[in-house]
Amino acid sequence: MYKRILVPTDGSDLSFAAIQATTQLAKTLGADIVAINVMPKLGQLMFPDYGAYEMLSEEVFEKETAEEARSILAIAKEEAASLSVPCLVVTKRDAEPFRAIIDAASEYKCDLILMASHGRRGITGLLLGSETTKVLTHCRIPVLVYR
Amino acid sequence: MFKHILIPTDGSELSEDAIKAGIAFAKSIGAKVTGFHAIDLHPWTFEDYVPLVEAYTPEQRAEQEILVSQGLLKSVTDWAESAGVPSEVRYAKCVVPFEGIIKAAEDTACDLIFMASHGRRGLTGLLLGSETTKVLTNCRIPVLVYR
Repeated sequence: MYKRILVPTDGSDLSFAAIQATTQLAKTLGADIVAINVMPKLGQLMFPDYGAYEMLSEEVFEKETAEEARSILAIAKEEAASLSVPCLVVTKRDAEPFRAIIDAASEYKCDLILMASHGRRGITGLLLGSETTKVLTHCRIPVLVYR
Repeated sequence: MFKHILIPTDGSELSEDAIKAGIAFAKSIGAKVTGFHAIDLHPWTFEDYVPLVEAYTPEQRAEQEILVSQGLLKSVTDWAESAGVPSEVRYAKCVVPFEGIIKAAEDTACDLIFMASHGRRGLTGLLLGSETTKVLTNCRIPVLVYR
């Protein structure tokens, strides 16, 4: 039924669980996967991991975040390869991850987005993560919120 | 991967679409479905509950509510039967529909809720429906938000 599943990942544990779930689902459906990591922009309010970001030059910042994206997506690629599911990895740079996610879904003609209920900023437990909520609110295709 | 899918319906057009899509999805992954209707203790729109207008006593009302539920759930049974997907249906009276939906998912040990982004009360378009949001916020299992 679904032919191409977009799975956004920010490197959090739950997003890796979402990648595993996507791989299994794609295997069952005979679908392929597009894994995306949205890299942050220098100057946006940043995660604690980038505490010292003001000190970075744009060049260093972009290089480091691109490297991080690569290592996160390598995990997705490996996971997909383990079940021999075709997997395309994509990166985008956007201060608003949800926008990049929705754009990627239409750009790569995905018919389902599978994303974790929370990413790395997330309050575990009851509430829904902020990017997930924004994707749910703005996108026009089905979204599977994974827990 | 998902074995048992709960499909809540409130009889709205989009939830009818969600029933068809949910059953097609169940078929493609070899899962069974349970259709669920939450009987709203405080019906919001009059037209949807026309039969209830004829109910004068609590007993008559209860009877009518069950008839309405059975009518709504019949499309689940019919679609599932024509698709060859094992199905069952249930309904329950609840103060707020989202609690009934989450409880039904727990009671039937469903591992996925497949529901429309909006129901009867929904604003079409950009935003997410209120019951859908509440289910997403409060439940512990994956939810596929259908559009």
